[in-house]
Formats: sequence, C-alpha cells, structure tokens
Amino acid sequence: MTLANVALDVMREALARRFILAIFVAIGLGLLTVALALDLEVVQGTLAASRLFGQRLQGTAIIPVDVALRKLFGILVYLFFYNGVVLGVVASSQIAVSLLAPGRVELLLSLPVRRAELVIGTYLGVLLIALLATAAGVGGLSLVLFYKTHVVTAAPLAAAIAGLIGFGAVYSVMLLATALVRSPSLASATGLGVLALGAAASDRATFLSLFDAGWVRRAVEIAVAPLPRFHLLAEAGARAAEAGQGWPGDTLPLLGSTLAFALAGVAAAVFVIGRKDY
Amino acid sequence: MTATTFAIEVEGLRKNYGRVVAVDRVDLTVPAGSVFGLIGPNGAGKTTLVKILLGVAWPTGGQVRVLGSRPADPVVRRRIGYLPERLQLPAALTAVAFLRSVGRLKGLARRALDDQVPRLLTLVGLEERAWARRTGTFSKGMVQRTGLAAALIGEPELLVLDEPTDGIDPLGRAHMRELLRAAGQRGATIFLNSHLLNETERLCDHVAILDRGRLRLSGPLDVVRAERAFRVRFATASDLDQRALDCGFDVDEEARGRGLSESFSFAGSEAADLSAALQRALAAGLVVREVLPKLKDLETVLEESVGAGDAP
Amino acid sequence: MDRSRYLVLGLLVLFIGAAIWLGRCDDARRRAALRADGGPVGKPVVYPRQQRSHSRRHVTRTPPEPPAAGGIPRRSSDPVRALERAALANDGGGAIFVEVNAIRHSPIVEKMLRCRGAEALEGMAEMKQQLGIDPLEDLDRIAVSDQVFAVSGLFDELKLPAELGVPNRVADGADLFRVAEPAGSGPTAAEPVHYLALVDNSLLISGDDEQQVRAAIDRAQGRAAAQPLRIEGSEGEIYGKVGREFIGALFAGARDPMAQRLREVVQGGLVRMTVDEQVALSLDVEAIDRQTADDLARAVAGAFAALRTEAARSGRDDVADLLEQARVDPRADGTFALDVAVPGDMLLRGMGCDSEGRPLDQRSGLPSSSTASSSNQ
Repeated sequence: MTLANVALDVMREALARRFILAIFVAIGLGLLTVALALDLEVVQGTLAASRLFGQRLQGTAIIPVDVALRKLFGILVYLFFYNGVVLGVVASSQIAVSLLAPGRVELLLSLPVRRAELVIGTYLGVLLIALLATAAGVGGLSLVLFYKTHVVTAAPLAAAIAGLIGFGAVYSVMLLATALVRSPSLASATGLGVLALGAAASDRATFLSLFDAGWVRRAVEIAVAPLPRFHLLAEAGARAAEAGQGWPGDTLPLLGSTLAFALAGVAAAVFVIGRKDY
Repeated sequence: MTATTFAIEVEGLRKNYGRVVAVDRVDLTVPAGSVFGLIGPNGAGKTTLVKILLGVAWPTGGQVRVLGSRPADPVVRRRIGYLPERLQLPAALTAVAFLRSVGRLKGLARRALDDQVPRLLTLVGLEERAWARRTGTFSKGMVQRTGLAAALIGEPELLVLDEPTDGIDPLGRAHMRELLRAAGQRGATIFLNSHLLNETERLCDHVAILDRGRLRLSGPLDVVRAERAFRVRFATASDLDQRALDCGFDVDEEARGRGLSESFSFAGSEAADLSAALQRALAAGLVVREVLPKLKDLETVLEESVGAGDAP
Repeated sequence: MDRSRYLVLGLLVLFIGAAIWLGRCDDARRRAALRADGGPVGKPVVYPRQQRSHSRRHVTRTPPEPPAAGGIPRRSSDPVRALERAALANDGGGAIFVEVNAIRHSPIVEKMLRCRGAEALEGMAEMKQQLGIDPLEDLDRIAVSDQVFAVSGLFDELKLPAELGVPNRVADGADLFRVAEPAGSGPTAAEPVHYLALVDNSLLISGDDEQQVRAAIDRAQGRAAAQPLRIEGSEGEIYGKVGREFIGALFAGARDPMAQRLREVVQGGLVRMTVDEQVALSLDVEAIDRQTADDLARAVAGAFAALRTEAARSGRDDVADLLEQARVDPRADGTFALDVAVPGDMLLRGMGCDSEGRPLDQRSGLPSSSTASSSNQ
C-alpha cells in the first residue's frame, strides 16, 4: 500500500511539472495534427494513397493497409524507443533529485515509509509516467489510424513493452546515480551513457572486436557483460510490430536480461540509500 | 529504559562523519507530554541529533528509542510529526496536494484527509486563496506554515520541529506559539530545536544544551535557569539600603534597572541561610514584600554551559 | 550491516548474474538462428530494383571463338552481344532476356536439382540423345521479342531434325530453315509458317516472318543496326525492356477482359528478375497516362490484397506472406512499379524439398506438404 502511495504520489507530482505536462500536450497536439492532416485513402483493403496537409506522399507503395500499418509501426518503434528513452531520461532526471533534495528527503524519511519503499516507489512512479506517455502516444496513434483505416492492430503493444523495459533499465541506473550524487545532469548523463553503450554493445562480438585482444578486451567484456542490449531490444520490438514474429517467445531471454539489469539497478539504489545519512 | 514516561530516550549516542564527531556519548530523556527545547551554538550537533531521532541519519553507536521503538520502525513514525530545518516543498504541488500526499503516506484515509487538510491549513494561518497555488510561489513564511500543517497532520504524539519560526514574522511567531501550546495541551510531546533562545524560553518547560556534540545540560527549564541566589523586595523604609546591607543582602542593580526599586539579592542556595537573613531583616524592622528564587535567562545559561565546556 | 542489507546485496548480485546469463542465452539463441537461416532472423526480400550494386551472374557456356577457317569466323565475335542484337530490332519493341545458365547455376535451382535432379535429368538425357545438346549445360541465354525468339549456347553438336529439310544459307555461317506446320493443323498443309536459323553454331533464331528472321541474322552478325539495351542498376537473371508492340503480341490472342485492358493501356515496361536464394521480380509498367497508371496500380494492388486475404483465410500462410511482401508503387510520371518475390524455401517446399535441397519425403517424421512449415521470411 505504501509502495503504491509513493508511486502514485511521484506520478502525481511529475504530472504537475510543467515540462512533463508539456510532453503530454505535445503528444496530444502531434496526434491531433496527424488526425487532421493525414489523409489515408483505403481502397479494397489497400492503402492506395497517403496525403499529408493535402500533398500526396510520393514513394509510398500501394500495399495492404494492415501491412502498411505494421510497417509504419515497425519504423516508429525505433523512433519511439530511442526518442522516447532519451526524452524519458531528460524528463525524469529531476524527479528523484527533487525527492532527495535537502529539506525534502528528511520529511519523507520521517514518514512511515521504508527507504526501500521510497526507492522502489519512486522507480515505479517514473515507470507509471512512462507508461502513461507511451499509452498516450502509441495508443493515441493506434486510435487515429484505426479511425482512418478501420484496421485494428496489436502490433504497437509489443513495441511499447520493449520500450518501457528499455527505459526501466536506463532509469534504474539514473536512480542509482542520483542515490550516489544528487545531480540531475549526472543522472541524465549516466542514463544516456548507459543507453548509448548498451546500444553500441548490443552485438557483443562486433563491439569487442573494436578493442585490442588481450586484457583490454577482457576488461571491456566484463564491464559490458550485464549491460542491456538496447538495440536488439528495439529491433525485437520493431520485428514484433512489423511481422508479429518472435514475440514474446524468442525475445524472453533479451527481455529477461534487460529486466534483471533494471532490478539490479534498483537493488543497488536501495543498497546505497539504505544506509545513507541525509 | 521505559516507554511510558519518556517520549524520547537516548543512551550513549555517538555519530561520527569520518573523523568529525558530530554527537558524542549523549544521554538524554524527553518526558512524554513536555515541550522540550534543544539549544546550542551553531555546529553543536543539534540537527544531527534530531535526524538520528527520526531515522534520517544513522547513529555510529548508542541506543535511541522514540515513543518506545527504534526510529527506523515505520509504525512509530506514523505517530511523529516533523518540520525539518529549511523545508523544501515540492514546487509543482499545491499546499493541499502536498498535505494530502503526506497524509496518505501517514496512512490516513481519504475522509480523514478531507477533514484535516483544510482544518490544518486554516489553523496554521495560510490564507485560503493560497491553498490551490503551487508551493513554488510561496514565501518562506508560507512554506513554514505549510510545513507545520504537514507536521500536525494525523495528530502526532511527538512533534519534532527544527527551527519552526525561521522566516516567520513576529505576529506569526506568536500564532505559532499558540498552536504549539494547543498541541501540548492535547498531550503531544513537542521537541523544539531552535536557535531563538527567547522563543525556547517562552515555550519550553524542559531544555537541553548541546555543544560540540556533547550534552552540557538537561532538565526542567526552571531548574536549568535557577541561580544560587534569591531576589527579595522590602517595603519602603528610611535608610533601607544600609539596613538591608547590614542584614546580609546586596542591592540588585539589574532589577532596579528594570524599575523594581527596593530590590535586593541574596547570594546562596541554602534555605537556612536565607531564613536567617530574613529573620535579621525583620528584627531590624524591615517589611518583606516578596521573596523569589533568582533566574538566569537562557542566554546566560548557554554562555555558562558552553564556557564550562571549554574548561579543562 | 543488518540482515536486510545482506538481502539487498544478495539480490543485487543475483540480478546482475541473471542479466549476464540471460544476455548470453540470447546471444547463443541469435547465433543458432543465424547458423540455421544463414542470415539474420527475418531477412527481408531484396527486389532487383534495390540491388544497385549487384550485376547479373553470367555463367556463359559459349566457348571462346575457335581459329578462323579460311578467314571466315565460325562464330560471331561476341555471342552475348549477338543474341542481344538479334532480339533487339530498331523498332522500339524491346525484348526479354533470360540468363538460362545463370539460373541453372543459381543456389535455388542447384538445390532443386539436388532434390529432384534424377527425374529432371532423365528427360534431359533423352533430349540430349535426340538433339545432341544438353539443355542444362549447353543453353546459355534466351531472348524473346515481338519479332523473334532466340537462343544462344554451344550448338556444335546440335542435331536438327531431318524434317527441317535442306537449309538456305543466307549468310556466312547462317542457315535458314523453313518449318512447316504438321498436315491438317494449318490453313493449308504445305504452307510454311515458321522460320528457324542457326547462326555461327551458337545462336538459334526463330520467327513467323522470314524477313524479320533474316533481319535478326543480319543484326546478330553485325550487318544491320540494333537497338541498344540500357537498364539502370541490377539486371538480374531475367530482364528486358518491352514496348507497346511486344505487349500487343503478348496478349494478341487473349480474350480475358483484364488482358485486353492491359493491351489497351500499357505502353511498355521494364522487367528485372533475380533468381538467387529467392525469386524476385521488379516490373516498371508504363501506362498511357498518369491516371491510368494510378488506376492500374490500384487494381493490381487490390487483387494482391484480395488474394492475400483469401490465402490467409484458407490457411495458406506462406502464400499470404509472399503476397504481403508484394509492392505496387504508383509514380507521378505515369508509371508504376511492381515488386513481388517468392522465397526459395517456398519454391523448394512446393517441390517437396527442404531448405537445404533434400527431399522431404525421405526425412523421417517430416511431412512433404508444401505448407508444412512457414519460412521466416
């Protein structure tokens, strides 16, 4: 109950922030623009023509409309995944920092809340906001496209789950960084760094081949061993969105690995905050 | 140690930050239902002690029990209200939203929140039009009032206030004193950490002095302030000063400076000595109008305590 | 440290261990998938128009020119160009070329032959005995135009049927035969309706019109001008440009309304087909105007969509997958592009073979149905 209260309070407070509110407004405006400006001509189950602001989009093949939507979502997954995670990193960097601010954290810790509950609740609260933003973006877009094409597709769901788990892993490290040093810049830099490194090291063999064979490569291998394979996660989401393939069966180890990394990050943050003096 | 008599019991408490000793072997008890003032110079370790009492900081050694339990116990923290020093409110939330959030975390039901939040905001004197404003726009005084309301939510048994009147105007301070007295009358124990000695003196019935991490003095205010002297006032008489001096009294210049003529002091703490001197005065034909133990102000007590701490 | 701290530390170690182990499991799964598929999971179809840097794989069987006898070369100087020149009349009709030998040696056909080679080779051996050439090895390329049908290859051992009669030598190294219809099948039994020419023992040209066949011989041997063939990007194993005449000839006898409509509105087009691990076709169709191209594109795409829906409904997922990858792309210049591909696995399954070219019916416990399992294309 306390955990839920902390998470909901974190979410309420975040939603009251102008920056996060602006993100939701931007999502809404974007969807409204798409709804008003995008004209999809569906003929005999195919997407015969697409117009944006009345201008026909050239280079768009006539393909079955459900295939077109899945292809669109396949592309959007990368957009949502990387942009969403980066936006999430920037938007959420202040949340834990503000909770741990001098004059605020003392009050929170004097309340009947365990430190672990505070950390996990904060983490879940931020994930709730991410979930809301994803639901607003992906769900809204699905609704707009359903309205325009009358095609229902569950494709974006897998992508949304991949994105959320990816962000969860990144945010856990940000939470750990904030627990160690209360700085939004450091939290953002850590989050982006882990995202970039995880994405670059997705294909471990190729990544490690960039380093000299010997102890340097071995050290890098150990350092990146637990890192989530972010690019593979985005790829799995895209493939699931595009062709409904490999989800969740084939992706379970990948999702599990990313989830385990996220939990390790949260456990580390609990460990650090658990005995810290404020 | 018993849980019923004392709201706070501290035994051999130590807190080190690296090589720096912030709190050094402190033994302290705060009687339940008392208004307890913790005073001391800057850097004495007062705030560290308060944080340890609330489980915000961890002790290096010693025992701490608050309302009969460990400070880390969430159940006991439900019964504590706390106003931290330099409180920072969540800037994006309104005062109402903030109080509801604190209330929820204290385990209060929605109905109790609906009742208590507006009542407490009214009680602390926050204007109703400010209730729905983001706290980021609040003045220091408004922040303190909102913080006090948050501390009072759930009618806690122990109220720990760290510099509660900081940033509040004199009228507001008087209002806050009234609030704390009311809470005291309700039976709550109030633990006040303030650098304003005047406030402490006017509000507290028990005080403790902390200096360089060590407890110099602790006890009921009257006992702490008591000097080894009495103040005696005689009725007007001819050649009063000389006659009183002959009986063993001294002219009390400090009292006379405040307009209390015919005031004399008697040095000593033994009742028998005072009785003998009064007998001599009566025998000399003087009329005794008032006999009072002489009290030091807290500043003097603090200065003496800190000075004594310097002595080898 | 109290007990809860040990618990958190234990969980931390456990989660890091789990992250590493699960990550390695995923790496192993991906490696296994790559080994099994020979490529990334879910490899998309690559159409000929997308293969900008891929040139067609000529595996020509035409041997180099032998020494001249009496100053007269037995073969045209460039057999590849000879076929092109023979097929491409200067009337803009265009032609389609088939790289027979390249197709024969493509991975997919190699697998097919490995799987069903015995049956195929039986027929080929019989043909070699009759004609003196091995169609699997001695044929090089085929060209089809609105005027002639031409085949290049190694025809030194070619045994022409005696019914063709005595050829008419129309030029050095070029013999022309008149081919009569079998009695009773034509308007008049003795009337010749086809002409067949053997040029330099490396090129066979056939046509209905003697003049057109003679002109093709002249172009092949360099005595007449030919239309140059220019195709941007990859050509593939089957390629060519066709004009309105070719389309007209193609649908000349068709009574189907769709075919008649195509004959009316299609001006021409560009064909490119690759035969590799898969068979992929790219068509650029030129219609009489933009609106017609648009309508035609929509009609074709609609037909694909309907077929795909029907295939999915009837459980033919592989066909549905195939049609899902088909693209119809109308352009602003009155043309539209059509891309369609057949995954090699599907073709192999259709022949009762697995993806490695082994007969499915010889593998215990595995069905030989064409829809036994779906590919991961």
